[in-house]
Amino acid sequence: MTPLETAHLLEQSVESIIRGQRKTVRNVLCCMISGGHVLLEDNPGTGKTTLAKAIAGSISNSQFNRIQFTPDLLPSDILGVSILNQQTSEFHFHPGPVFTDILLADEINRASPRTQSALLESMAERQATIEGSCHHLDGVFFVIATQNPIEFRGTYPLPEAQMDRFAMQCSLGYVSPEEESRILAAQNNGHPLDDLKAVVSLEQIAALQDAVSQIRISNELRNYIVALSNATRSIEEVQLSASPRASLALMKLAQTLSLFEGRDFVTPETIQELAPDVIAHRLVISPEAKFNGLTGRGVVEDILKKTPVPV
Amino acid sequence: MSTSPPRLLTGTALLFWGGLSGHALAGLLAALLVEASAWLNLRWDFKREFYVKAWQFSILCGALVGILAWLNGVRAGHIHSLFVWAPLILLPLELAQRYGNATKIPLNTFSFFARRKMVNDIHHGRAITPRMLNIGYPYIMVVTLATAMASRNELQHFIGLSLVIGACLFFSIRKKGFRPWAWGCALLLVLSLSVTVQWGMLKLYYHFTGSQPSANHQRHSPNESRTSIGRLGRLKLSPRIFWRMQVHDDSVPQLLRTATYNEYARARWSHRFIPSLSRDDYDYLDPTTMKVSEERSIYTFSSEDNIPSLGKENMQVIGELDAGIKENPIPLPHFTFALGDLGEEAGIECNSLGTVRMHNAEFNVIEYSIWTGESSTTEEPPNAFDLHIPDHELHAIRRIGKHLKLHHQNLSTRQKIAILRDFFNTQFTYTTHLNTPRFDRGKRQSAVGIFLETSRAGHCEYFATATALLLREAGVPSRYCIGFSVNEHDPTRNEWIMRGQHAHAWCRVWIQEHQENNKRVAGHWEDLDLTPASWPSAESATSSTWQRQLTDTWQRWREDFLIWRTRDTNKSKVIVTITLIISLLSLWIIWRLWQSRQRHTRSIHQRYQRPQDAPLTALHKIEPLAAKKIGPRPEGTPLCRWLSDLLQVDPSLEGILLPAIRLHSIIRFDPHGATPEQYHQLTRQTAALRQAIKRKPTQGHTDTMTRPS
Repeated sequence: MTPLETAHLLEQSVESIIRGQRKTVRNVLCCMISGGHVLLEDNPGTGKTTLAKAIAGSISNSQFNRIQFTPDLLPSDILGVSILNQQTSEFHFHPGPVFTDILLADEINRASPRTQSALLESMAERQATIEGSCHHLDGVFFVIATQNPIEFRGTYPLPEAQMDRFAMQCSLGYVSPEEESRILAAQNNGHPLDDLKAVVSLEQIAALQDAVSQIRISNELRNYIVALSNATRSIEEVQLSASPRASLALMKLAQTLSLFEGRDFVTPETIQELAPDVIAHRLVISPEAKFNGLTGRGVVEDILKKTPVPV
Repeated sequence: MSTSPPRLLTGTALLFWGGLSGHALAGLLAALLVEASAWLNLRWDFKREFYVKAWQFSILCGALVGILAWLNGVRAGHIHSLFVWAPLILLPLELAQRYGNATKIPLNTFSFFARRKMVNDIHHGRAITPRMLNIGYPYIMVVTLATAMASRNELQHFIGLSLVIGACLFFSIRKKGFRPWAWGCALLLVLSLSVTVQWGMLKLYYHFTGSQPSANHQRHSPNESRTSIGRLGRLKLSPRIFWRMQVHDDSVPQLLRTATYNEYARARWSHRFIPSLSRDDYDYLDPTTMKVSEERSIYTFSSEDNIPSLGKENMQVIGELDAGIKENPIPLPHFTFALGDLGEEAGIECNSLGTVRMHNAEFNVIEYSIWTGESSTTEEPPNAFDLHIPDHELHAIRRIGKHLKLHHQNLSTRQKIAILRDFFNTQFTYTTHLNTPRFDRGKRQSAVGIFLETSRAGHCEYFATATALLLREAGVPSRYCIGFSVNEHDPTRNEWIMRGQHAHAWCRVWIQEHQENNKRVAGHWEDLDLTPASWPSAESATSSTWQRQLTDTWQRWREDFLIWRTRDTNKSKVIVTITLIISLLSLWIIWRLWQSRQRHTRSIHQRYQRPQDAPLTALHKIEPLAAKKIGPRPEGTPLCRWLSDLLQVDPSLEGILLPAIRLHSIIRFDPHGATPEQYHQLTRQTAALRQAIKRKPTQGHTDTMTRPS
């Protein structure tokens, strides 16, 4: 099976559960294949958790863990803890839910910044340092974090550093009435997730990830990515601009999306399609500019309009 | 209100305002600017911050109107009259909403504190939901209110206001199930009721007051002076400077007379006259106008035959007229012969008692010159009114007259005056604290009677009234006059200052024709002031404080500036300066608006600089041709995506266009490069595409231009 066939198979499997969200599904899968993590910001009931479960269910032998973030959640609840075995008088490490292939961090902004930070190292380094010892996270380590955009009471906005750890932020949004009707029909006799069968293996995912690195990107387009990131640094209203990590994530995601689209090379259209989802959430807009209605997505869209694109 | 008013309603309201306020041109321009937004496609993408700036600009315009009003001499008490200009002051905000893409503006635009709170909320990540407002209807309300302030014609105003408010109500409340006839009848009923109720209330007012409402509610006017006689408590006199006088020779008048009255009744002196053929219902004496030079007009009250040649003026007076009085009496020395330099528009007239009234003054702060003569030329000889004593004062006056033996046959007028002077100087004291006990009407006691018989203390109005009445009792015609005592001199500016504290009342007494030093002296009026001489020191005891000096300096500076500004030679300078400031400000705003419009188009012309080694494909060469069909390519839009818009013009191009796009992408962006065969394929595809495009009609550019890339 070619990498393109694997990608399409995985995509079709997830789309059989999450209907009418083709673009978001593809972006989230791209994020997973490129080794990044995704933050889903959406209203309740739009299918965030189902999406995570659908991805996990489509990959055989993959482990899926879910953490419901609450204000009293502790870092050890995520990373794990060493407990004294009274028979052997030794500490035994009990790994936390972070040791998994796909981790759903539900309503991540409900936990305190201290607990949120526990994910930082794992997301960036694919390892967790607990009580002085370093534990590597093997296999596909993919974090899907969700947060509710309309509730602010009792929440802790994600720290800027953690926002940068997410390769992409996107939202599912509401589906069309026709699609919603099909969703109702599909769940008439039980949830489709119950019948979901794994279509790809972890090994095939690893092969897909290797294939992404073979997708070619020209110097011109690399420079274009840098120009986009760099443009955010010269805007007065932006207090915190896109980091080199953002450029890197954009390049990797563009390569992955090109693979999904069946190309061996990256085009400017692919970069432009991904740029708002990859860069916008990393920008911190000044309060005055926010008052004037400026958003991170608006800044990126403006940059895309103004930055000369390779033709 | 969340909806915007219908087309032409705001413009109509502005025309209504312009018509009734006398600013028709301004109203027409404002209406055109506002309504042109419906016909023009010109729009700006204003951010919220811009609305704040528009609001601040409106405040600036308000301040500018305030300054201009101040330059025209409007006092703080009449600041509300500036609301007439509110439609123009708030026009920037209305235009910002009309020409902006947003239909509503945040309510917190109007409050600095609300804006700060919102910024803080955003900073702390709190949810913000600013209330949005369409200011269309509130603006119309402001326009109608301003019209009400400016309107002089009640009927026109009522009809216009009814139409505008009716239209506002009609367009804002109409919805499904709305019954226009019932609504129209209800509106007519409300309007009829409002007219009836207003008419009824006016009739009630006339019924209870017994007269038409008087426009003049001032304490002193040329026809009436309401004294403080009989009032209890301390008489508070303002330390503010009312008039300033520069005297160019040694003859400094002791008193400056503002108005003279001849009939007293119940603490009120008034002016009565005997109607004659020349003056039926209005007592006036026209002055004779003479031109000394091109710039100077001089008025005299003498017959033309006796006008002597006039030299330099004897004195100049500066002060502020009371804006509440239509015909302002102005202070003059009693031997005034001529007046001048009153301004082109201003006119003066004099009544038979010598009160000189000024009307149609161009500005409230005035300066005028005075030429003095040997005697008064403005007062007519006495008549029956100058000997009249009101009934309620008669008993007390008779008792005092008998006591002072004023009826003695052999006493001359001078001797009678001497008796009275001695009487007041020795037995009376000056006080502004009126602690006179309440008099008993049953015993026919009047305030003047109590003053003369019991308290023997009072202020100048008591002394002047009592003197006038006692002289009348003694058979000497006398009148009561008010004005200012000239006793404060400012040596640094060489001017005499008349404050509210120096306001004074005294008598004019008729000295009959008599022989004096073997010379015949004609009958004439003389000033007689029997108030104890200590009164100016009692009045000025509390006046010298640093606050007063500061206020005096500011008032002098303001008045001098206003006088300077009203001179013909300086008027043009002021107008040019103000026009220049307004023009520069307008140009700056226009330039900024133009810049904000230009910025969008400039970025389009920044072209991508292709590297030297980057191949140029056949598809690049098709761009000018495609631009004719779908408009120029925005610089941020990739060529392939832009060319895809051709499919909207002609979907049949898909078979040619998509392979060409794919080949172009390979040649341009695949680092491995393309094969020669692919180059040839692209050339062929492009040629076919070119032919297909040429066959198709041109599409409007607007969609492509505005579509986000």
